[in-house]
Amino acid sequence: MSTPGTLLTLAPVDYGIIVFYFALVLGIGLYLRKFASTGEDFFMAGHKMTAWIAGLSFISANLSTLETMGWSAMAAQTGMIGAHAYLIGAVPAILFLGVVMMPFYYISRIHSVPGYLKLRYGEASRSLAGISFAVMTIFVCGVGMFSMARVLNLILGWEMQRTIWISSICVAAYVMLGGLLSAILNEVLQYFLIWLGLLLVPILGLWEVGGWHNLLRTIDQVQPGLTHLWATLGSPRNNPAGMDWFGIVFGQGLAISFGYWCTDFLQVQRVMAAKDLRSAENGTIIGAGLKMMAIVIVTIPGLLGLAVLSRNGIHLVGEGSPELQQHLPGYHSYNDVLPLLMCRYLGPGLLGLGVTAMIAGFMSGMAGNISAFATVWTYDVYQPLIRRKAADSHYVAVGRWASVIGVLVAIATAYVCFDFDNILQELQVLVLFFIVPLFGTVTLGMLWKRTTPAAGFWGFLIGILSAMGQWIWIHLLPADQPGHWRFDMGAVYKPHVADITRYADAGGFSQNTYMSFWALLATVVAVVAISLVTRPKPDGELKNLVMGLTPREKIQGPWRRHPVFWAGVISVVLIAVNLYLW
Amino acid sequence: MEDAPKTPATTPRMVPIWLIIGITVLIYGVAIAVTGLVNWNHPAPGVAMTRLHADFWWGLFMTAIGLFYVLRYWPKKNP
Repeated sequence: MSTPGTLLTLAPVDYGIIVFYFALVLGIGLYLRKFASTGEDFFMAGHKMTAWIAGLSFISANLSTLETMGWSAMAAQTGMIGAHAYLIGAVPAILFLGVVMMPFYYISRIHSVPGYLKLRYGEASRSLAGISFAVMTIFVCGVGMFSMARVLNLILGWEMQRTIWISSICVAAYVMLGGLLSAILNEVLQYFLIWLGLLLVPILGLWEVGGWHNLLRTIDQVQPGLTHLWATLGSPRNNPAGMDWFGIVFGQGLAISFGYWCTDFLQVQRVMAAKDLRSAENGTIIGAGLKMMAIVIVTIPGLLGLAVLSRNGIHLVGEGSPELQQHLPGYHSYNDVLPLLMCRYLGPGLLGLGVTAMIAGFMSGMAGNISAFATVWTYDVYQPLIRRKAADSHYVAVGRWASVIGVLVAIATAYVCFDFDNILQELQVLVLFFIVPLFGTVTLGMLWKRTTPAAGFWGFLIGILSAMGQWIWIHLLPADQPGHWRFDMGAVYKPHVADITRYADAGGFSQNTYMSFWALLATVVAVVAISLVTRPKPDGELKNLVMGLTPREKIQGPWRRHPVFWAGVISVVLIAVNLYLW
Repeated sequence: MEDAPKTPATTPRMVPIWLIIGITVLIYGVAIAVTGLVNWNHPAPGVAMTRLHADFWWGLFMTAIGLFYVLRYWPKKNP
């Protein structure tokens, strides 16, 4: 059995494929520099993207290495439940963004989501959102760096720090040169590479196990109950995820998903760069369809890990398990399931493409974070708080430097990941702290004109504090002395977990879904309550910002080109897939 | 630092992203197909399902996709 770091050796053709990719993305950055000279070009890609480019970029920014590895690991650990991230945990929120929220974002001609808060609630809300988003984005970027360095260390034995630095410098260079335009074009390229590089894994895996039904049958033999999407969610005791339907529907499906897809500027920025509102709406809906398809290259490999690897002497265990601590042969972390399957099915050439796809996924996700960070830093932190009036070229220069400095700060935060069982949990916690309360604040601002500036600011802040408070509460353990408590980020206190999730044994993912829901609820209650006792803005100041005061564009052309029609089609497919995998 | 373009009337046209994707997929496809052909009788040790020669067929598939995009989006001369 191979030891970590020596799973396989790349052939010269594999190195050639990887080196070509690095040269290509740098070349694209250099080429696009001349097209990114104004603020509109650098931060919003000139508002020139077609629906397909916007949609591919929108999904590609999410389909990072962290995403593919993390959710494959989740599927290997918890079975079909991991597919919720691509169904109820994403699609309804994306459709809501496309059909309901996008017109407000697009018509108000803002540069960022915090920019909407400025128009709707005032400078204080914008600064709070801008600063919190900037911090979160850099942390998420650090998580991506860590996961990529780890997988390349596992597969190829590449030294982690060197991997982080080389890929980070490359990303910083191409974002600094070409801005959002460069990030979007590389994301579209990455989307193709990731599908072409990873699709053979499920194809060959399903071929080996004898098809889809044999895969499910084999998993049932290995560990019963892992092949259902909903059937085991009656109680957290019925599934290894420690999840129940309430957490999935209201935590993952409502709070986390809507927060991430509708108000995380990393995502929203891609479709806001579309050439017109119709393209922005259709691009978002295209993204919903593409998101569902990702089950093929993420969830199915995770399931194949359960069926194939175990009967070939490879055992998948949790990150902190004793077997891994003792380096017992044949034991690997769930997080390694995708690289292990790549090793199994991809020979020379294909492996180079698969590794390139993962590098591309990592770099693209990182570039997405950095370009969003540069925009928010420039327009929502630097411009209002540091230098209010300057030439457009000055802000472009600030954006370029923010890209480089953002990468450097992200490198410094990369190793925070080591304290967590599953890489994704950290992302969930970060999303929970900032994005979920942001969604509550933004959505109420869009849908209810009575929402006041004071309620926007304080509701958002209360939501953030509520999320942080819950997180601290479950990590607060009794100390040796009676009546004293100690905080331990690496452990949870079960009675406190039960306070939040109703079940003391609820898993980490389940804890996050419940905390998200309560944080959203706290935000909504606070915004509504404060709105009722404070003074709203006059209608004249809310034009193009609130439902009822924003004219809806009359969509020309046949009904089959209407975004609502395609949102309906995607909804029907979503329901059908859920019923099939029930 | 490069100076700003002095002739704004002749703003350069951007190469379509689909062409860049086509060229990339074409190059990768040819490289993988040729590797698959070379290794046809000498499969890599430790790799499963080598009897299917997935590398060769996948390389051909990628070559076809790449070729399609290159031909479809190759810049046409102005009339």
